[in-house]
Amino acid sequence: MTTQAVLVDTSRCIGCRACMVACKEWNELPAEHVERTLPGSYQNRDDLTSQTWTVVHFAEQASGDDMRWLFAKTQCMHCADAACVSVCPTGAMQKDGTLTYLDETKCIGEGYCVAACPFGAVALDEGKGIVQKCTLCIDRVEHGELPACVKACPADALEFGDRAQMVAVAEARVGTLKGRGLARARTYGVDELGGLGYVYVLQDDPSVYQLPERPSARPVDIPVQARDWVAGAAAFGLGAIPVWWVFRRRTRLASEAAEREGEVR
Amino acid sequence: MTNHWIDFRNADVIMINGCNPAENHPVAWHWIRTAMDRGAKLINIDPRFTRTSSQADVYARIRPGTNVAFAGGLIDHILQNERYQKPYVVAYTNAPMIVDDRYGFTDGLFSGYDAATRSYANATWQYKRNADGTPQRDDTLADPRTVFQIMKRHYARYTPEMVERITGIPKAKAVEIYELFSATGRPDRAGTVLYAMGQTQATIGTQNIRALAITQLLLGNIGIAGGGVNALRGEANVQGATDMALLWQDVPGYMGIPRQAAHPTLKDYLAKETPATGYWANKPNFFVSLLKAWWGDAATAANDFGYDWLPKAKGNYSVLEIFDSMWNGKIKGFTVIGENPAVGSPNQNKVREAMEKLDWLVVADQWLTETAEFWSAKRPLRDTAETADPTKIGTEVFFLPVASFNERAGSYTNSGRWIQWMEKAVEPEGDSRSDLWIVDRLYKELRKAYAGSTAAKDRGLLSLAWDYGDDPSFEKVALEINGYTYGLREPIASFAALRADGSTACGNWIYAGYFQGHEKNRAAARDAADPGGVGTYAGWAYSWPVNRRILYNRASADLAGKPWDEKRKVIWWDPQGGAQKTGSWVGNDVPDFAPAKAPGAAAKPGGKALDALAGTDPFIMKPDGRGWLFVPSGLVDGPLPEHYEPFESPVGNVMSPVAFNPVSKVFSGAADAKGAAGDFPVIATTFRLTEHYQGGSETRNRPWLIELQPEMFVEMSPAFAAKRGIVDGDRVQVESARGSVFARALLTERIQPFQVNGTSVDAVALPWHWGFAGLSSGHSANVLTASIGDANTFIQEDKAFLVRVSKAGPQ
Repeated sequence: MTTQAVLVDTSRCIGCRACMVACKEWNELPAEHVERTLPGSYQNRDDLTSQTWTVVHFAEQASGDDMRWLFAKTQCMHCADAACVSVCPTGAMQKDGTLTYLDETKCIGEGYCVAACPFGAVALDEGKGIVQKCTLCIDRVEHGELPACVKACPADALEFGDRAQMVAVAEARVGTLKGRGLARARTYGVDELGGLGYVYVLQDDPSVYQLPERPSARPVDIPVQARDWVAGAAAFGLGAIPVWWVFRRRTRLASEAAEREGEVR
Repeated sequence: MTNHWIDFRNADVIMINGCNPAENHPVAWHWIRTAMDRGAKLINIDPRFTRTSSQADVYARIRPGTNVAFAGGLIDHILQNERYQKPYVVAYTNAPMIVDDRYGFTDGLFSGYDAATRSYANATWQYKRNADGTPQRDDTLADPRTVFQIMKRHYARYTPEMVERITGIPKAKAVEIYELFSATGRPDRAGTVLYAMGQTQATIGTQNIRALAITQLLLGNIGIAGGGVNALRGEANVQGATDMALLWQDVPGYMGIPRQAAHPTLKDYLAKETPATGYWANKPNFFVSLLKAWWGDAATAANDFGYDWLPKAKGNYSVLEIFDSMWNGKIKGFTVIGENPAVGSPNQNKVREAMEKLDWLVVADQWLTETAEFWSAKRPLRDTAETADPTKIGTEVFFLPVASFNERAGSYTNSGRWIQWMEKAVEPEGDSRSDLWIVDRLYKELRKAYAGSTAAKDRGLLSLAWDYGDDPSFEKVALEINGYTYGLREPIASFAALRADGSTACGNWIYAGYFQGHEKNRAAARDAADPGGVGTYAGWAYSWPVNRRILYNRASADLAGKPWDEKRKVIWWDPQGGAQKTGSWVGNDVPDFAPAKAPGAAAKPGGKALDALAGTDPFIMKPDGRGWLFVPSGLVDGPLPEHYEPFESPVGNVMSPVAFNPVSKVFSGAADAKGAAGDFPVIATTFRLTEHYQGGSETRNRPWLIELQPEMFVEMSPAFAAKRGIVDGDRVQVESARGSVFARALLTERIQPFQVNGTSVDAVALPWHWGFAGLSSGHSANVLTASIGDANTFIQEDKAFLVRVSKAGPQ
């Protein structure tokens, strides 16, 4: 059982985004077309997609020359109480200790998890017909390697270890930051949603980093019959075609994105 | 660097001043972070609030081009408040030396200035000497003609008020930084200074660094662990390139290039360029061994080891001069290897138009760079919507695809002088070849072409010792650089073995010892032990010279040879040390000192080389063994750093009537306009991004990086943008006297106007990575910059110039 977690210490992050590139490199994810960075920012996107599993958020807080520039990596948080797992009709999304993982052979891409995730961290891959998200690099971890993002981080902002230990480090770091006058410094993910697989040290309120203050599963209107039908169909090895239409719009958006991406190769 | 990357962890205060390591050297951030975890304070001084600033304890926004003023204020603070480490300053620096009575500084000019030639004669900057030739000095530092008192008077003008007027840093903030940093002027505290192009890309770039060096000498921060003046080099092997004399002023190993007028013969060169005292007294050993490496058997005592074959400098061959000559039609052929001047050099319209005047151009690169494609219709023409017309450009262009770093073996020398060997990982793609293969083949073809020549001018070319194999061997080149005994070809272990009689050959004396054959390739050593705990890691790679990690480390010990700081011991005197137990320097690093010279040893009267230095003279490369606060010779623009405005500035110089560096060469051709503040009222600076690299061809062709920073932009404050009717995302035009570029506006509070002499002056900042070629293309910031450089090094002044900014229509 996976007991480890990633510590994200935003007070140490230098916003270099080596984690983003390492994630794409290890997971063989293509570049997506980005026309420009977000207004006034170096941040290149604010959503997670099936081809971008982690994004660093940039936040500027200014009052004259007294300013701060804050950075926080976001991705699937690997919640203990994982909404994606509870809404998944096929049992494709599962927990293994701290890890939330997708059994791709069971995923039918019907996407309730996409709607339910409080962090917007699960996305439908139209080409594959399944959802995609951060895997905590379990394919590295089970061979004794660090997750790609942690391995690439040059600033000691990411650490990987036993979750209890990561929590202890996070709490100690917050104490240090408070001692340096950062009154709003706090942990995030220690208790949220039963405890996250990414434990944060934040220098300010979660909203500053576009993190929900009190994350909870988003309400998803799952027709009971559909759920039962899909589960039943999956059990019989049938496809999930009847609910596919639900995601038609999403599909169209995804294919448009794929076209745009063709422009950059 | 005087120190090395890992050594940052030993500092108590880190002053990041003119570089941006969080963005441009992120891998080094670990060592800065390690120091901060120990409690070190981080100071950051930058015109822009950067990702480095985001981590700093104290940040100050400095107007670009005013570093000497800021550091001058720091020097003044140290001197006025007696923060200097007095025993160090008296014994180890030239503070007590008495300077020539004729030396003076008036109205912004040092004595000896000739306005007609824009140059100095340095006769009046020399020490006053006793009858026996030794410098006069006053160890009480009280004599008004001592270097110490001259400096004190010079920098008394740099009051906190004056610093604020020039730099725009509020005086309270400046004093806060001065207090914090000068608190390291104690034996048990260490402060380090990190810098890069923010200091060097200025008409007073060398003096910017000098001012930092003066600061560090006064505080006793040179030679110690956690101290030093540390340049963060911008490329993986640019230190190696510099060591191997990619700078035109030098031959390998930092020996000056022979000049036609001054050095017609070897005898002239050695006589004029070899000081009698200090370690450079050994220069003939290094220089003759270099000639022997180049010409081998053909280099004999009878022919001055081939010296006559060596081309002698007759002028200035800096990049600025090369493109000026090319623009004026004087250069017909041009070979570019590992560089992209059509993005990186200043005044791009001039650079690109100059290349149109070439008969031929050879570009060897991994990518089709802007330089390789300067002729193409991708290239925008000066201030128009038109593009270059290939049918009207007669230059014949040859492109040679080059193997990337992992497709060949060889060594890299990092900023900390570590030479690190690496093996080839994969075969080169397609027809691409290593740079070595290309240069080797070029020489072999030239030798064939000139084979029948009996002309004297071709003898040097035909006589070169050139035997690296059919497929040239990196190890054979490495052995030549390392040096070997002539005849037996035994690798030498240290440059102490080099001789000026032709019995040794050495391609670069400072690298001697790094490669002693395949089995003793010390650049490939990978022992991660650090027994002393001070981070010197002697078994990891090889650090020139002689595997020394911290330069001038004799100064880490006090006059008696005991470490100033027991917590950060580098070397010390062991009275029972050495094979004969007669005493030697020992410790955690290779001593930068005569190993058996006791701290109490006196200088030998009339002695040569190191004999002329005492046991308390740590700066053995200097003829007097002291760190030079005041520079009697070696720099063309003054013995002390003085503030001058950038070439293009919104204001006059409040320190003196001299506007900008009075020695910098001004180009005045049709392509070299200078902008006035009336027409170009905005201060512009250039910068780099984490996500892109230098001239951009390596990163603007990589989709994963393009997706992070997809396009050229210009940063400005929301307040300034509002004045121009610009909103975030607008296409804007930025114009200088030399050209204009279009870019997307990025509005951010990280850019603010500068307070210049009490007036607010608007500012913009442009990344300089983009060019018209590649997967992600855009306009080049260097279209705007001027062809002017530092008076000593000719490094371009890209960090401060004037522009105007307007909203542009859609493309």
